Amino acid sequence: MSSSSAQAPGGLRSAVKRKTTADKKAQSGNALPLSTRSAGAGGSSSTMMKLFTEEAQGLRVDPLVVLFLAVGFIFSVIILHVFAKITGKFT
Amino acid sequence: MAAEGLEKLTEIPVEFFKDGSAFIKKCQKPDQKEYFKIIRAVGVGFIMMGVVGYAVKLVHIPIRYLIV
Amino acid sequence: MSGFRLLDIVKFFLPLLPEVEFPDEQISFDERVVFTIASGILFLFGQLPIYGLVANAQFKIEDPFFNFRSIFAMEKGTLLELGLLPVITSAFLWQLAAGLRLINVNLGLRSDRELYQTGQKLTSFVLSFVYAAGFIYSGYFDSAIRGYDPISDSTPYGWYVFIFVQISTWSIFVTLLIEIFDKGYAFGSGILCFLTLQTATRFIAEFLGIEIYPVANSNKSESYGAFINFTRNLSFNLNSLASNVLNSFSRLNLPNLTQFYVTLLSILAVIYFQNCRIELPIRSTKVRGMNNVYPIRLLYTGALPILFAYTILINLQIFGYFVYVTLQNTKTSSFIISLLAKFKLDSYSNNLGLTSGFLYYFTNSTSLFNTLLSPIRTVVYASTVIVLSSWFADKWSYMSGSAPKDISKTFKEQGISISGKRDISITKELGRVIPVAAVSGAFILAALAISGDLLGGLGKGASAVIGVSSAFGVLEEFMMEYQQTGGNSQFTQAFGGL
Repeated sequence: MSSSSAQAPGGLRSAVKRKTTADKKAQSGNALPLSTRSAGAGGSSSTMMKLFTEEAQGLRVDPLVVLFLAVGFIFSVIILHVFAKITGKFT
Repeated sequence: MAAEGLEKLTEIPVEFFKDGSAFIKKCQKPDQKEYFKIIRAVGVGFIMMGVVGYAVKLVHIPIRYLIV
Repeated sequence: MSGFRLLDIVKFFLPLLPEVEFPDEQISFDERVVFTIASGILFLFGQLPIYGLVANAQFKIEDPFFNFRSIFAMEKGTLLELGLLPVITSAFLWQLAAGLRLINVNLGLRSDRELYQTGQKLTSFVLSFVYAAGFIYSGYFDSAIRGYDPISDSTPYGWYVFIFVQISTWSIFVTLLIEIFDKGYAFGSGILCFLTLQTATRFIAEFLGIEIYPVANSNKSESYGAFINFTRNLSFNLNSLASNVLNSFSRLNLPNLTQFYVTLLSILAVIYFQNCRIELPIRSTKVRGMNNVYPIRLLYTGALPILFAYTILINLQIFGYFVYVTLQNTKTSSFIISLLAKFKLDSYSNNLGLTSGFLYYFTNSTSLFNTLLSPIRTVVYASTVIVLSSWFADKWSYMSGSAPKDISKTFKEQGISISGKRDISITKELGRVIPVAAVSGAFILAALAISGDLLGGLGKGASAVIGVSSAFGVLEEFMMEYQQTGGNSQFTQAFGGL
């Protein structure tokens, strides 16, 4: 039970391994790739502009959180508008 | 030196036009049937997107009126 | 010098920047549809007016960027004031810098790729701060700030902060929404999808828009949609018919019918050229008798070259305007300023049009009449767009992941070769076809975009060209996904009866 949860199949360790082997493979080709896609990763193709296809470090957020925050931001702007209108009416 | 540079400058576009027009001549162009089929497919997608987008835009009008 | 890398600066900001997580498991078709629609609608909701501006601010702002704003979804006086400009500019900067080896980055290394990507995001954030600050500094919003009189009142710093926070925050959200697309939660590339959505929306709104707006500095009002306005004019004033019809084709404050037809024609032409291709006969080296064709499109690089050309132009225009305002504030002699630019306010549409100066030659004209009136500007403008986009197409066809070398590598992996060619000469053969296709395609698209501009499309032809050819990329990915997994999609079942 505990051993299986400590080392899930396809978990972190194998992901790290995969990363390093992929890196080694990429290093063995001596020519430097000109773009992320020709390096064998995703990214902009000839007709598509894709910027963010790698999982970088940083403040991890769920996409749903992004959507909700965006909605929240819009609502805060709306509330500001409404507030301004109400106070504007009474003064 | 300058003349050489100028020659090169005119050479590139001329060569490019030659290559380009040869390429376009060789190109397989869509025939009428295919063209209309694509127009329909893309048109439906495009107009659907547009209508959805415009609907959102229309929603903005009363909001704007109410809040500003 | 060699020890220092630009990416090391990025590393410093790494823990601060938000990063959308990768999906834990395969995103289903339905989920992707929902994410696409949700982010699209959210993007459009950015057209909310900025808090702090007066009502109908889009008619009061004196707008020096009206020539190009439609291409980048820059909506005047709304949260989308910056539109997609920061993220597109940053994308081109980084991808070109890496492709032309201007920065020291090894994209073969995962760690470098991550920093490279974060660098793009950071640049996009920084650029949105720069643009927002520049807009405010140049007094762009001054004529529309609520309760503020530019002549008598002191500088409204409070409003400035509010405006800055609003437009730069929304710009950051737009970047994150694009990241959601690119990480595989939605279809296609975020930038292109938003551009398509924007173009489609604009197309419908400009033709059929039913909302009525007051005309600046007069007591009349006009419908937004060009077609609606046209029919309204027809039915109401029969005695002044001719001038009304002329007005619906040539008005500048709101969309006119000329722009609509320019857009429509551009769309049809792009669809045609999109389907021009050269089919290279290929055969499998593993299975005998497996013959097929590998199409190489005329528009090999899609809409990106023109997008690049216009990105350069609008940045020139924006930073030129900032410099212009700075020069004016520092009381530089008016002669030097007039060398750079000379603006004239069109009181009818509140557009700040250029009348002379360096910047003037890099703008499109507002009508066919103006095009013919200033031939030098027309030539300079057209050749700039064509040269920029052809140059970019040439470079891009080599450095995007679909260069001849990359394709021949995939051919080899899949056991495919071109009929009648040896394995080694595949790269050479592709190298002969692809750059030519890319450059001619870019040339044709640029010519289309420019001809729209010269007819007075004000960037709308170009935006239609970009939008439609981006739509192809997005639709392709959508159809591919649909055919693979669409069979058991809830949406297909729900819409099956349609």
